[in-house]
Amino acid sequence: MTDEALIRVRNLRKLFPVRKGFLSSIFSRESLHIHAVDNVSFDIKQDEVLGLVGESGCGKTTLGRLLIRLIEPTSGDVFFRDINIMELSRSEMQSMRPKMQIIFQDPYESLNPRMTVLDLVGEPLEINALVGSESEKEESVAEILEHVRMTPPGEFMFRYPHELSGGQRQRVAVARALVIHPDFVVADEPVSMLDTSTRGEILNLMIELRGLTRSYLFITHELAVARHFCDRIAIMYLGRIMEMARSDDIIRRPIHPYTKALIEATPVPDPSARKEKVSIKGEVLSPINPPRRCRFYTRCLAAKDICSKLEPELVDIGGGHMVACHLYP
Amino acid sequence: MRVNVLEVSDLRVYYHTVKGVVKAVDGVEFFVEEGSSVGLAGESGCGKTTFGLALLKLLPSNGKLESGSVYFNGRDVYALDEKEFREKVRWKQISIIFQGSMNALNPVFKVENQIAESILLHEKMPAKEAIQIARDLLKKVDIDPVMGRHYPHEFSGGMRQRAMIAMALACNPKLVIADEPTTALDVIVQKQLMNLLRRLKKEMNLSLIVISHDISVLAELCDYLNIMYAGRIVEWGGINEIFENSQHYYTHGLISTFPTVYDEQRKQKFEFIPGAPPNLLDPPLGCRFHPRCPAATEECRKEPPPPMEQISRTHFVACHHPRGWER
Repeated sequence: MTDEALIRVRNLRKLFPVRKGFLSSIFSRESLHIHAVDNVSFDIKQDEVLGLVGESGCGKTTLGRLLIRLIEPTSGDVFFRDINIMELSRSEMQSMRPKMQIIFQDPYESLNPRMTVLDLVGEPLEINALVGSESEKEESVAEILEHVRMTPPGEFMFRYPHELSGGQRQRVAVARALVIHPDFVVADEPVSMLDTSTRGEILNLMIELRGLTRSYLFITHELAVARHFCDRIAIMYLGRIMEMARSDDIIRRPIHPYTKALIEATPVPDPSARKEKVSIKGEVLSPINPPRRCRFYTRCLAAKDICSKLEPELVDIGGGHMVACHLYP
Repeated sequence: MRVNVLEVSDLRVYYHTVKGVVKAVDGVEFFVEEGSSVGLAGESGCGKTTFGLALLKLLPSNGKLESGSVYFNGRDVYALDEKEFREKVRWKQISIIFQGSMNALNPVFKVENQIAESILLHEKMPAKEAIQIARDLLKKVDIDPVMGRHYPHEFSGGMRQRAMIAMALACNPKLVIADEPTTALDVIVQKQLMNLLRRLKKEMNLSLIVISHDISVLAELCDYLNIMYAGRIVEWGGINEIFENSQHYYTHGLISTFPTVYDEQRKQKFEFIPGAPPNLLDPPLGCRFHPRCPAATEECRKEPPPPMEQISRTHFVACHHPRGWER
């Protein structure tokens, strides 16, 4: 891993308007927005796997989609190497697309049921005009199918998704993202729909295939998977990044109270390690027009006065360990 | 000696579909000691939910009970007719927390009314009284009783699951089946729910059956663990014995595939069980796990595994070549 950044995210925001009923839109001037991603800045280094961990609804999927501009941000910039992709025109963006790909969460929904494996995996090659003929396409598809262990490729190429198991489908999704050798891949919960017994196979493949891509953004709600899969982990809560550090550091020396609570709550497959402690109170607040204070204030057991008045910034506390908390130092 | 509150023997449930007969539960022996919490683990499609539904005779119309007996507190409850079963067993003795609380609650009724409904179906009492019990139940599961007057969509995921628990407790059952009680919930909510289940079990002296694919949830909640594969129980034992001394290769695989957040070193390699669970329309001959088993022999391919063999007082396995244990 080099320290050079492949992706630089600066002050990225995405607000979704909330639709109101007819009467309330007449009587109230206040506009409501879901602050899905709220002023987020970070870098993804060359050849790095960055884990983005958070509970459902914290904005991690939205952030992933913003990074490859599948949706438009409200404000902010994303630099791919030196190019600000938010300033690109439609056609310029299209020529950037082969450099950035996405693996979706649900292999039961992300694969077109009417297309064969050959067409599914070959589609990105055709769209980006990377192959000249049908036989060339078949050759490239066969090669990547070998890589994702769908062997012999000839046996799988002409199958439809319904003829594949969940694990095989997700391998097709991985092959589809990696077949054009992108520099950057967003993997949005790539294993959460699979049984734990088959997850490891997909994760191992993604590690082995690092030669075909440079960097991953690995979105997950499972800290235990991120801890082993990722070089660095960012913890997201209600649209903000709360803590970010090397995965060893964040697990061994968590600083933010939310990170601590997440680690505590993560179940351990070991009956002798049972714990009942939960250092958190209440439930996740609504992301609609959150007040200007620490997002975690209402659930934090150690909150101080300042936490209710000022939103903490993400600051480096040494060694690249970043944290957004008034309690530190 | 502790008494068994539930004893199931040779339970078989087959689904008759256009493609053929799906043997979802195929000869399951199962029991629950009074006051204990028993886990049922397995991958999706292994028959664990079907097993839970069969205990309450709530199978879908194409699911048939082919054989088996269920004794509850020493009484053969499968011998009861449907009316008696509904009046005396279902919900009064055995209840279930259904999987997917999002879909299990009726969106057009207030939560307290839904809980009261299940009480009124079983007890003769004024509706007002039932509502009061419903509110007490909500309080018991840490929901503000005032919320009872609200509709399910006004509840968060964790609260809906709590409401489902309250509903399962409505008639003071002895045994509660929790089918994937924390699946699709975030870890913090999951932790709170597990603490709640543990507390209720103690307070109300419940016995629990917890069905889950998530072996770490079962590790936290259960005293005993059954491992189910392709319609059969392949290993059963005390929770510590299963985790420390698993004998079946499937059990071992299931446990080792689960990453732990506390590992000192970062692993760059993940464990997995190769292949996929078999199609129960046409399960493999011999041991059903043999196509995925690292230790399969000719015997495993041809001969069905021996019946459950005893390893210790509370540990049984059905395998031709158990791991590290000499007969």
